Amino acid sequence: MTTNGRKRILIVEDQQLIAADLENTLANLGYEIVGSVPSGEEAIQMAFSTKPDLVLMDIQLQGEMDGIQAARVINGGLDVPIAYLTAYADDETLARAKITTPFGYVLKPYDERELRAAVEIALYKHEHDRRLAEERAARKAAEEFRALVEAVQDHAIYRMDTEGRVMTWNAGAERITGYSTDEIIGKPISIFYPAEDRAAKVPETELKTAATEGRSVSEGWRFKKDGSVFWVSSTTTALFDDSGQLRGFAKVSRDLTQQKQHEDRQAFLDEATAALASSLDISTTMQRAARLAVPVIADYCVIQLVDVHGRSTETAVAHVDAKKEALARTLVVGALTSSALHGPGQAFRSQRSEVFPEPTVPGLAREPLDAEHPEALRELGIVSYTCVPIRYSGRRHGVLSFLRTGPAHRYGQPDLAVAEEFARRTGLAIENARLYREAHEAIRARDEFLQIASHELKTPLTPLQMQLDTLGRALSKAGVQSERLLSKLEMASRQAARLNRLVESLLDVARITSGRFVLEIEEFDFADMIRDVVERFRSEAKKAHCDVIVQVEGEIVGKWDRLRIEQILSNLLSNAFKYGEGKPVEISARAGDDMVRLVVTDHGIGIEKDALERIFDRFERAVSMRHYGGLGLGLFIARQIAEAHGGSIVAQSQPGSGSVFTVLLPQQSGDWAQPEVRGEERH
Amino acid sequence: MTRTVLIVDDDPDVRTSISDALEEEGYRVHRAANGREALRLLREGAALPDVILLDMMMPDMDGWAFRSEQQKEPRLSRIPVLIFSAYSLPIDAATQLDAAGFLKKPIRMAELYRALRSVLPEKATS
Repeated sequence: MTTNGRKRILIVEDQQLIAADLENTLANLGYEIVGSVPSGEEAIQMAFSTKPDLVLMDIQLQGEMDGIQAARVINGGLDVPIAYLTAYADDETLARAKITTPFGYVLKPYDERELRAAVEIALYKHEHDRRLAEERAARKAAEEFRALVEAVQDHAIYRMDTEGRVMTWNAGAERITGYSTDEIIGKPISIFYPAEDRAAKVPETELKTAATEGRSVSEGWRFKKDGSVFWVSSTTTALFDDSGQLRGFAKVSRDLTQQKQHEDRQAFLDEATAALASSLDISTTMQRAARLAVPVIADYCVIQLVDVHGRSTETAVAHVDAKKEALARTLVVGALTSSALHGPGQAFRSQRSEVFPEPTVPGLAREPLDAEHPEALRELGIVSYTCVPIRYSGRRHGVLSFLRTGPAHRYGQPDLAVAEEFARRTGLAIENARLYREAHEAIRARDEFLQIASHELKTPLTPLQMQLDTLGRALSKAGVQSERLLSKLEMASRQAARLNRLVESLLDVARITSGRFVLEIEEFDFADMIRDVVERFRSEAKKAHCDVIVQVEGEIVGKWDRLRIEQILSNLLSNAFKYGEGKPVEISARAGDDMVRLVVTDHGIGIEKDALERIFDRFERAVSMRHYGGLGLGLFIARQIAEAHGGSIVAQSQPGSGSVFTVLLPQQSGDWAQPEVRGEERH
Repeated sequence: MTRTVLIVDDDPDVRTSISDALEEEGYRVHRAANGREALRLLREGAALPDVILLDMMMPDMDGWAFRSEQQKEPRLSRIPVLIFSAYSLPIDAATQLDAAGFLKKPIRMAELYRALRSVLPEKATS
């Protein structure tokens, strides 16, 4: 360390007189003496504690250690030049001394001039050596850094001047962009950017941001030398010199094309699948999907569908340039039937996917698509395409084609995978739509048939019942008393009535399942209704030998569809008689909490536990088909009616001891009851 | 006084069985196979029926068309109409038709008599 510019010297000399003289002389010459010691040990101590600029060491010293040994120790830990003072130097000593790389010798006796020269030379040499070493280290570091940067393969690392012209290049940059160092040095970085970015001054903005804020980060598509695109994520850092002047820029870019393309493909698949699921109208979804593909997956997307006979049904076309869409459409007419060796026709015929250009074929060795409209093809400028057949469970639905115009993208295996996945999902969607349509059609046809059938079945019933009635009247007017005759007539009437009820049930079911079941709400007394129905069933109850006990107090006024509620009660009653084994049947009704609870109890054969829910299904019966007749629709309809009112109906039973049917209805069903019941088609 | 009923239905057996039942009860019955025939009878006849039993589903002028024509002529529009159909009608359609009643096919004799009595308060005595 130099304080106030003076060099500091440590004197190591065992002869006091010489030491004193040295001190004097050196002080007069303008040096600072930090110490004067007679032994090696002390020399070491002093050197480490004072850290002088120079040690003037006598070789012969007090004590066991001589100057050379001391020098060795000092050199091991300090970077300080040592000059030897010696009266006598034999070869051996000199040899030993040389190893310690002294910076000079002063021979005793010395004069002032010699001393001064030796000291100065020693100091200078040391300084010089130090500077050389520093420079060498700096150069080495720079070399290592450059080698490191050069070696980096997947990052482009380079410098630009203040105008944004490329000054250095690395292996990564060459690999990513295709430009060699010679080709790129001096060119502005704007050559990498797409035209729209250049017009919007994006490269300039990046540099400006870096200059003002220190660094700027950006992501985007860039062009390689061959015209294809790559996606980068880059950081631009501004470089300043010591005085704060902008020296240039450093840029580090990462090629994320693969990730980006993968993300894009995945996003396309997700969006296209959502589009496919959004509607059962194939035409709409195809067009939507085709549009989604453009421009991310394709410049031009065509989806061609055929019916079961191979005739073209839907064609969806999307082109990145809306003006070219009409042109693009002309290209596809008849394409699936074409006998061309390549393209959609081939994909459809062979049911195999095709990618052009094939990975093994370098460059465009042939026309990309054999088309019936070569001018249109040329005008569209197709460079690369992938055609994938759309199929599902062996059925051919059509072909999906992705096409690229311009050199920016080339299709490869991953694109084919996306196209095939999308085609697979499209096939599935088409199947679903078809099945849905067919199911709908079947249901509609069935409902229409039920409607017509019911009407047709009822037509003969009108005159039939009327004639039986008038016949009965005529007989009684004619005074016929024959029990036999009258009972025959009665039975005929009964059967006609039964037939009528069955047909009504069928009609009800048809109405329910086609959503045309409408409630007609009116206000009436529930208790009154019960009594009416019981009265109507009087003869049936007698035949079944079942006593009917009605437990209702007072009035229960509310709003329901009277005819339909009567239908529920009628159904429950006739079931009670059917399965009641001649035991009493109880009907009770109670109102409370804005609800009416109607309970019909019988003590007959009961219902098995696992049948308790099934009995409310259509065409379901708790006992075998042979025994108790009927279509099995009664409880199904009863439940539909109850639920249409906003209520419910449940069955409880103890096999062998009877069943309890509980109907819950809101007292004011009219206020909110669904005017229409949707049977099968609940949404 | 004998009450007259006009039965309009395309099914001849329906016409006959209804006629028989009504004549049993002392009504006089006219028959028409469809709306057009019914209008002809009404326009040409000197005396008008007291009530019309109208089927809805008929070829060559159905119940709706007949009703619409009937309502245009004041002389004819006064005659009450009982809709007689196998199908149930939606409420707004029934209101539009402005019928005196709605009878669902197939109908029992007793119900038919009841319905007519409610529309024609004085019963015929024979």
